[in-house]
Order: sequence, then C-alpha cells, then structure tokens
Amino acid sequence: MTKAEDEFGKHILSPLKSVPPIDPQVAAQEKARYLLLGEEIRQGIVPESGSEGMLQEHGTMKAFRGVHRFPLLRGLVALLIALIVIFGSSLTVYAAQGSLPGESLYPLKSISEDVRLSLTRSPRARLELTLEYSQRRVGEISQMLAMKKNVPAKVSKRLLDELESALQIAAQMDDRQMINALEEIKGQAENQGKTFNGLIPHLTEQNEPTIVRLQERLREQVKLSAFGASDPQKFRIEIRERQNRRMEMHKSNPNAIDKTSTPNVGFTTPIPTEIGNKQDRTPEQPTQAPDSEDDNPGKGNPDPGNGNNKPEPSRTPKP
Amino acid sequence: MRNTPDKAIIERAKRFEAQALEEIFDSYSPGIYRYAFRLLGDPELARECMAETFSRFLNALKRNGGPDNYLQAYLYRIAHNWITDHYRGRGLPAMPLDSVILADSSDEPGHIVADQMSSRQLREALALLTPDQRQVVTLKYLEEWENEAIAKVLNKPVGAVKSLQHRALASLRRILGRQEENNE
Repeated sequence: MTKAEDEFGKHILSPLKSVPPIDPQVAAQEKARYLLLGEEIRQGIVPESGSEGMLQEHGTMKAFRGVHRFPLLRGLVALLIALIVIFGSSLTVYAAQGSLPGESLYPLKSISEDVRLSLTRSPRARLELTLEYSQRRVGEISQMLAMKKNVPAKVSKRLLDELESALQIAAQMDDRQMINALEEIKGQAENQGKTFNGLIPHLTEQNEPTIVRLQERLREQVKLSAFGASDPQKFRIEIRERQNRRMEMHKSNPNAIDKTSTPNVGFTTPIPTEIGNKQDRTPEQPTQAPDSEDDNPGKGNPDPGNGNNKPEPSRTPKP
Repeated sequence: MRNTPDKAIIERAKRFEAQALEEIFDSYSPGIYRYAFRLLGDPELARECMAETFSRFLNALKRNGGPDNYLQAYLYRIAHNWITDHYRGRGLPAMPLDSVILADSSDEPGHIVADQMSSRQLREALALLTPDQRQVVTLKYLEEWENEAIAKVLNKPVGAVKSLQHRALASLRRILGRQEENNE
C-alpha cells in the first residue's frame, strides 16, 4: 500500500464519514432488549433449542414486540425504557403505575414490572419485587371487583405466575433464607386469601370462577410454603417438578392457565398428611390465618412421604 | 480504536453478568451502529444490524461459543456478516433524504444533494466489492482501524489485509469511473 493509495481511499470514502447519531431513546430501547435477553438466558428462561428468531420472540421480548405494533405505545415504551435504563429503577414508577387492567396505560405498567424484575439479580430482591407485584395484582382485582368489572384472564394468570415465581425464587435460596422467604410468602398468601374472601359479596357470575380458582391457588401457596419450611429438600424437588410440568404445558398450549397445580392434584411429593388434611378446605372456606394451628406444619411428622424417589439434585435449576 | 485482549470481560459476559453485558453494549454499540449506517445508509437498518449483532453475540455465548479474545473484532465480524447477508437478500437500500440532512445539516442544499448522490454511489460501489474487500476499506478508511486490528476481524495475516486494500481501492476506482461515465 502506498501513501497515495491511502490518501485516495480516505478521500473517496469521506462522504460516508458523517453519520447521524442514533436516537437516544432507540439506543436505550435496544440496550434494554439486549440486557433482558441476557438476563433471560442467564435465568434459563430462553429454551435450549430453537432458532434465533424464536429466541428473540421469547418471554419479555415478545411483549415488547407485541406493543410495537401500536405506534403510540411504541413511543411510550421507548420513553419508559429509556427512563428505566438511564435513570434506574427509581423512575420505573414513573408511568402508568396506578392504571387498571383494560386501561390504555396498563401495558406500560406490566412492561415496567417485567423490565425491573429482569434487571434485578439478587434472589432476595427478586422475591421482594415478586411479592410486591402479586400484591398489586390482588389490589387491581379487588378494585375491578368493587367496580363490578370483569377480571381479565391475563391478570389472573399474571397473579398465578407471580405466586409460582415467588416459590421458585425461594427454592433457589439456602435453607435458612428459604425458610424465612417461605414464611413471608405464606403470610402474604394468607392475607391475600382473606382479601378475596372479603370480596365475595361483590362477585359477579362471570368473576366467580376466577376468584374461586385464585383462592384455591392461594391455599395451595400456603400449603406449599408450610411444606417447604418443614422439608426444604423435598420442597425444592416439588418446585422443580411443578416447573417442568408448567413448561410441558406451555409447550403444548402457550396461552393455557396452569390448572394442574391445584391442591391434591399438582403435588409430586406428597405433602405431610397433617398439613394436607388441615388445609383441604372447600373453595368457599376462608384461607387459614397466620396464627392458625399449622404454624409448624412439619411437627410430629418426620416422614412426610416417599412419593418421589428421584435422587436429590445437587442444585435446584434456576427458574 | 480498541482491540486489546478482552478475556476478563468476556469471561464475565459468559456468565451473563448484567454489568459486563452492559459495559460491552455501551462500549461497542455506537461503533457498530456507525459502521452499519455507513454501509447501509439507513438508520432503521443500522439499528437492526446493531440489535442483531448483540443478540447473536448473546446467543453465541449461550451455546458456549463467542469470542475468547478480541471482542470488538468478533462483534464487527457479526455485523459484517449481517450486512453481507442483507446485500445478498435485499439489494442495496436507498438512502432516505432525512438521514442525509441529519448527517450534515450545515451544508448548503446543493451540496447536500451532491453528497447524497455521492454517498449512494459509494454505497453501490462498496456493495460490488467482495465482502472481505468491503470490510477492509470500511474499517481502514472510515473506522480508521490499524491493519493489525483489521487482520484480527478477518482472521487473516496483515499482508493479506494490505493486499485486499490494494485490490479494493483498484476496484473502487474502476466502479466509480464507470458510474461517472454512465452519468455523463
């Protein structure tokens, strides 16, 4: 290469030198997508097999792309993500946090929750966020019931997912942390059950099956939390099995609501009889109070069951 | 121009540490975007190329692949492959007028049109080069990389890079000369 050639190359290509800067919102949006994909891979949410196209469409990414079909929402989402990325989680409450399902800003609320959760790494912080969000769902459902509005299936599904997610996060912790976390989960589930009980007079015919289903699931949450506190190892196996079942079900019907995890149906590992019997109530009965007699569910039952003979995994897979 | 060994950050990226992934994006995404824009002339395509580059990078890490060293070279290779596939699949894009005005809004209107024509012709000419030639001249004369760094992107010795530069410039002269003749 001669100097003259170099000069020619620089000169001839110089019109292409100038590049308009990328829109900061666009850059922030792409950064958020990239970080979300990284986080999803880290957590093992993105499936092992499948094309890159499938990978991109998975999980939260899919939610983003769905929103992008609507130009107005796209702009708002871009702005929101930019704010989240630039200013951090303190501004994730910036937009739409008071909206209810069915309102135009509600998708932003959901997305901001997804983004914040995806960017949160420590199990403890993730659990706190998950519990906070599930409490939000209960609040939204309560408000909708009070206004005699129908509760959309997506919202009840989101609550069910959050309940499940709380258990999965707890299962990743060491025994001591997990027992504390499960106590917290149990207490919240009991309170949420009481909230729904108080709403029974407001139930419309259409909402009744949804609320009954949620009450059942909250009772199951209490039962599973108590079980986990009494036998952490079997609890982890149970949670892993539930996760596998959910993944199988999701493969066959991605939009299905998980109906296999109701009490007495979904437990792979038999729950100690003492706990199971005491909490086998009809859907109409109230969820047990935190100070009920089941506070020490494993007591007096050293052999909670032998239904699962699989070897103990060295580590519970990440959700 | 960074092309130092990046083993430490790559190791962290392989564990999908969010901070490492963020550092990588912040360091390299502006350059990848510029590189793509210069060759494609369209902000939307440049954005797509940038997004796809980082998405492919993550998916490569997920498959226990990705770079062991020289992260920047690896990322530019992905971007280059995406652009080459784009050329093959869709042909050369036209440059939107808005982008040209944004690119150099201080110019007189007459110069903007001239630059637009020139940029378009140049992109068409670059598209006619072989992928390796195109990458070499772009990295050398637009991104101002050293030959050693370009050699790492292409996985070729420096001598081969110089040879590609020489042939690429000769081809560009011929192509642009023909374009000029056709315009006259």
